[in-house]
Amino acid sequence: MKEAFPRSVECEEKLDLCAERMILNWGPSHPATHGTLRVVLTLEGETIVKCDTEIGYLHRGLEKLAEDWTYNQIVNISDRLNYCSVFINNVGWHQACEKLFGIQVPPRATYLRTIMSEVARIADHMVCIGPNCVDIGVLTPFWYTWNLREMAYDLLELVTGARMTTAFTRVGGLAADAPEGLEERITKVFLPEVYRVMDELDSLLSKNRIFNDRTRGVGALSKEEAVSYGWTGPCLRACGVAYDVRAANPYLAYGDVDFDIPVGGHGDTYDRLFVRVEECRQSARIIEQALSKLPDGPVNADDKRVVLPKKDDVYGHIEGLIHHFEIVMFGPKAPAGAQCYDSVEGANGELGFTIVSNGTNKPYRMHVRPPCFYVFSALPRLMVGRLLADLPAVVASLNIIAGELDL
Amino acid sequence: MNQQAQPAIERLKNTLGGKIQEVYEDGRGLVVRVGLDSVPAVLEALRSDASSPFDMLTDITAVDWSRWTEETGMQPQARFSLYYNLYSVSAAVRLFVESWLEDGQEAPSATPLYASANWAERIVFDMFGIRFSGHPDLRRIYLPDDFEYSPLRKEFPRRGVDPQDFPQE
Amino acid sequence: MRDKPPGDPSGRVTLADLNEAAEMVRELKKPGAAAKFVNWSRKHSLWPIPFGTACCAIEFMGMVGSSLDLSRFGAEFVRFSPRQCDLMIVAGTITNKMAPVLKTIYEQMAEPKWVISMGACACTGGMFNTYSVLQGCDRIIPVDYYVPGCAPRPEAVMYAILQLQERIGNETGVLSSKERHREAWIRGVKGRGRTPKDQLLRGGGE
Repeated sequence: MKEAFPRSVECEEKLDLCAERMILNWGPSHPATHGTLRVVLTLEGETIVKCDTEIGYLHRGLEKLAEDWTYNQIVNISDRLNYCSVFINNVGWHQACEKLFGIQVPPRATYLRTIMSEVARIADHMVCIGPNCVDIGVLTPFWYTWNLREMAYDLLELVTGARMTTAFTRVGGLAADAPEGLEERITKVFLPEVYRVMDELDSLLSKNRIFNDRTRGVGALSKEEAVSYGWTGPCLRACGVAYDVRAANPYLAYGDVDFDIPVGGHGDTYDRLFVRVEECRQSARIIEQALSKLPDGPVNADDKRVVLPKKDDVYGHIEGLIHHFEIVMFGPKAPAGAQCYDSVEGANGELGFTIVSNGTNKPYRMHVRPPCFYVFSALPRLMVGRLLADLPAVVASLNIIAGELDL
Repeated sequence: MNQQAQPAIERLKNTLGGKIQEVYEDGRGLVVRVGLDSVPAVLEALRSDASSPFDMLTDITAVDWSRWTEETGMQPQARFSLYYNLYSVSAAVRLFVESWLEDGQEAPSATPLYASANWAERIVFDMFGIRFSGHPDLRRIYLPDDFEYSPLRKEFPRRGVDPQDFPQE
Repeated sequence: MRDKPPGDPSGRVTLADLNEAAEMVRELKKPGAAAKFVNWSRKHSLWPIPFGTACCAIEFMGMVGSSLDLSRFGAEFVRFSPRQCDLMIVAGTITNKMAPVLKTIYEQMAEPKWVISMGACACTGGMFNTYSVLQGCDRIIPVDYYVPGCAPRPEAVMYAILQLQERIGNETGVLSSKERHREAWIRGVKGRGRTPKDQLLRGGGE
């Protein structure tokens, strides 16, 4: 049959239906940017062709600030890094300090630090899962996870006095001992609720058809690429690499307790979320075991250079008074020329602190290795070729905390 | 954890012994000091190490030593030092590679070897002004592009060059 | 203020005098029936836009959560679109890079609009007295209530919102932000020294 309009070859080559590319600016003020991120997308229809990120909207100059503060004051900076799991940052900072100073922390302090770190880890995972679900459109889990987070806040407030910005560790131990009734409060009230909420999240999300469609296979990364990008933490474990600083280089009381490392199979958004759910269960296990083994004793090292002496020593002996004065006015002094690096398993991954000391009470250089910085650097690799609607799901599952990302 | 990197260093000495200036241990663990130009070769050799391949570049840190003499009396080797924090996931071994450079020297980029070097080097460039040759996209990451200074250099004041004071303060 | 308050020959101003003066001002400017209705509808339907940048945003989410439900006071929808909101809660550190964004979002909000500055960083820059942090969001936008704390408890922010509701209830007539914040606007326009806006335009580093 003869065609009405004969097509020439030239004409067909020039026929380009997806003609226009649109540049869309996502952020920095956007409900799903979790803080302040900016992603500039080049879209062809709904498909992301190019993805460019811009960060630094919360760059507060923390490393520069740390050069002007003493070692015990910098814990307040560490509070504001990953502000969802604050206790882990405090522990990370002071652990690095103790390595620098060469101090051993007494066992009761290590166990208490472990317990409160795991409470903070559960709280952080709740912050990831709740808003992640909201971004996908599932509003209900947000309320349940936030309730659990309020219970974690109650615990943190009971022990440290503050809900969120705790600043509870000091060089040599903790600021104060745990209060009476902590064990009962945790085992009778908090831990059953953790298990219950995790089961509830499972029942709400894991078989939900829409949730599965939006998260399975979305934003997947292979093992080798994830390691090359410097991924650590739940995002790396979702890709199939069982790297957890608590197991690879046991610190605090993690060597004495039994826990599994949940690992995902595909590295997609679904895996990242459910690795976190499973990690909360493992954290609850760790807390249970650590509480049962909690030793008695002091919570601060017996080192007069760095730890405040007891009050009767301060008022009774001149050396106690001198030490108290020096530690309060100037802070502990690290050995000159000492350098150290120590890392802990933050809620997002390996949180490392590099400290260079010049012999004074303030560090010469303090560097934070932020886990979600490296996780976020892979976002262009994850998003190219995917649909626009996948972007909030993926960004939220990576758990980007701007305080940590933007140092 | 500290001494576990020793076998990898021995293997490195066998292949690239000439490039290694010093191996020492401090609070960071085992540190291998190399010349600036040998950094890519050493990183590549470590990445393809036989039993503990250092497949993760955890971090790149830079330190500005320009106030070191005045604060401690000790003499640094150069103005800046770069620390490459390498980790082997399969063997759980950590190693630091250190290299010293002067102001104005360009460091070789590790981006062909590790994907994490891309952003890590951008931070060093942003904060210290150290350029990396061979980096695909070297621009500021935290501060706006028109910011004229390198804030973590010791001569830059913490509150900025023009702090936000009202006149009567 | 009167020069010589009765009953006190020395001319000192006491707390009772201040209370009396405030009472007089309130008597003069009481909202009429129409204004009362408008105020009532406005204060019980304050839709917040949380300009949450840092840690305070998490405490704000705590306030919105089910334990301390904010929506029972009318703030039902936390929308992130400035066109749909009338209360901006600046929660978190504002950096020099973020400041133009904050100003743009504030200007995109429709009148009447109110601002609550939540947390030490939004009020004064907080503990971050560094090269990249704006020392207080009131340098670029007018603020109605400041909530101190780092991070303030959600109850504290809720208290600020309740105070704001009470203040809205006493408003007479339709006032734009410019009129309500006249002094702050004058300060910004005349400039007590260099305005932060100039600094923003020049990239903050000069």
